[in-house]
Amino acid sequence: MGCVIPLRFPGIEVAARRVFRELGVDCVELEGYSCCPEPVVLGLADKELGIAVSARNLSLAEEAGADLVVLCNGCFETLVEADAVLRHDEAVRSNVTQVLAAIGRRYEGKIKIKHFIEFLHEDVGTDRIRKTLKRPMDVAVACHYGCHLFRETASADTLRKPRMMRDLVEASGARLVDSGLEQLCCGFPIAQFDKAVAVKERLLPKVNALSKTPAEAVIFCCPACLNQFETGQGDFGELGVDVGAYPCVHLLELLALSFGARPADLSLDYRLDATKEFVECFWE
Amino acid sequence: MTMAAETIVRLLGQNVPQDRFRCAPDGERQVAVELGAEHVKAAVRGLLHGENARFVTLAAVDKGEDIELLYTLVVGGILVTLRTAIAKEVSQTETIVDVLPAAELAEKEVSELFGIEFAGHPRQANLILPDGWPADKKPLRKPLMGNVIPQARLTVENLLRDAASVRVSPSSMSRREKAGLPKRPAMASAKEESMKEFIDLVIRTGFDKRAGYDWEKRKLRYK
Repeated sequence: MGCVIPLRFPGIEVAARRVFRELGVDCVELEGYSCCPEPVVLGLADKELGIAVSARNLSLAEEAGADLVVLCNGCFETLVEADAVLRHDEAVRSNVTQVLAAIGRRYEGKIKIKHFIEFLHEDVGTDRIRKTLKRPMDVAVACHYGCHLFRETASADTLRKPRMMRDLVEASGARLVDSGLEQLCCGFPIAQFDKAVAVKERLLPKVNALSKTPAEAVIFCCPACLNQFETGQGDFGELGVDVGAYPCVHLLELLALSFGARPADLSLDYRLDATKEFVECFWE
Repeated sequence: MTMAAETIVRLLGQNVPQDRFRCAPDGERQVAVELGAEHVKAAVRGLLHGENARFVTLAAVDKGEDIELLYTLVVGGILVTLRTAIAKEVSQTETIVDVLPAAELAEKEVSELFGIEFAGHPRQANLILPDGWPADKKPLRKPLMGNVIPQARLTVENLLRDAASVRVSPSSMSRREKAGLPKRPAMASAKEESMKEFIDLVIRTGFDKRAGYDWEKRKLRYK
């Protein structure tokens, strides 16, 4: 689940639960997990802590006897990378094993870690999603993949998961349009250091490119990117940028809506007005 | 352990409990000792029982969060450095001038340049700085700062308080309730034993010390 979804965007958690329930997927809650840790500032701030915290989270899943389905791009990257380091770096593994043993835990690398996009595409399948649709999303949308979605450990095909995301968006009934800048970073990491540069150099070119397409909303699979898009577009006026804001919808919200969830079910109170209006208009 | 280190451990052990200092050889006739500031005077007393013991110097290093003090003595031809750290928030330690008068000028110099007060030091007048120099200006002292970059500080504080990168705040709990979810997600902070385990893990990695985290105040020692 991560931190940002349950604490900032609980509506995405609601959507995730709804989507998995509608698809007949039985989820086990990972009790006692912590931040993955977050890869942009925390993961880099202290690698020794980062790998130990990741290993503890992985050991919780292993103890529960369940593979891990991750809802957040950042968490996914952190956990997958930690798992790879623990498999291949004996010195790090030995050190982490000692720390884990001291707190009564161990991690043996027996679980699979999947991004929810991989899980929905490979384990559930787009056919089952299409069969579950109650209100196909008859709208034109654009994808924002998020940089961490390009992370691959088993192959060099960095567009494997983005392609899966596109298939899932289309399975909801939505019409996918491309702006040409889908792969450009949203600016979230830069915003930690310079908010204005992040908005002007990353977000604005993306929104300008979107404005030349018929896209009515942007679909995300990363809560940090979604947050950056919503708050960044909210800052356009302050920065003297006269561009309309695009609704920002998480892929799980899009699927939940197409499975019959109502706007009120998704707790959109704290979201960008454009997002609320888009979801409500879709229902009317 | 070298013979030199064994000699120093024996001398220190007369006055300081064995588990209160860490002694490491730093060459054939050189020994480094780490200890808390409260044991420095007793350690010096112990070393003075050694053969031909004499004071060499006292150096200070601004480490950002602490001022590190390095007391160097020669004992029986062995160069010994007592290394201790004074938290900047405290900036005070006991003088050793009463047991080692030769340290008087060195302590005074450190006091004026780094702002460490040596309690009980006999000299009041400035040694290095001109008369009338402002008492709050310490030429070699940097502001209190630590390893965590400003952009990561809030996230680090959230992590060590709630095991989450985002704060588990009343507003986040209220948002969850409104969404029909349990007030707290199933994270470590929702369960006392999970949170204890998480904190134990953090301490065992040494991150809290590297980051300069104050567990009592539940925040970093610097802004």
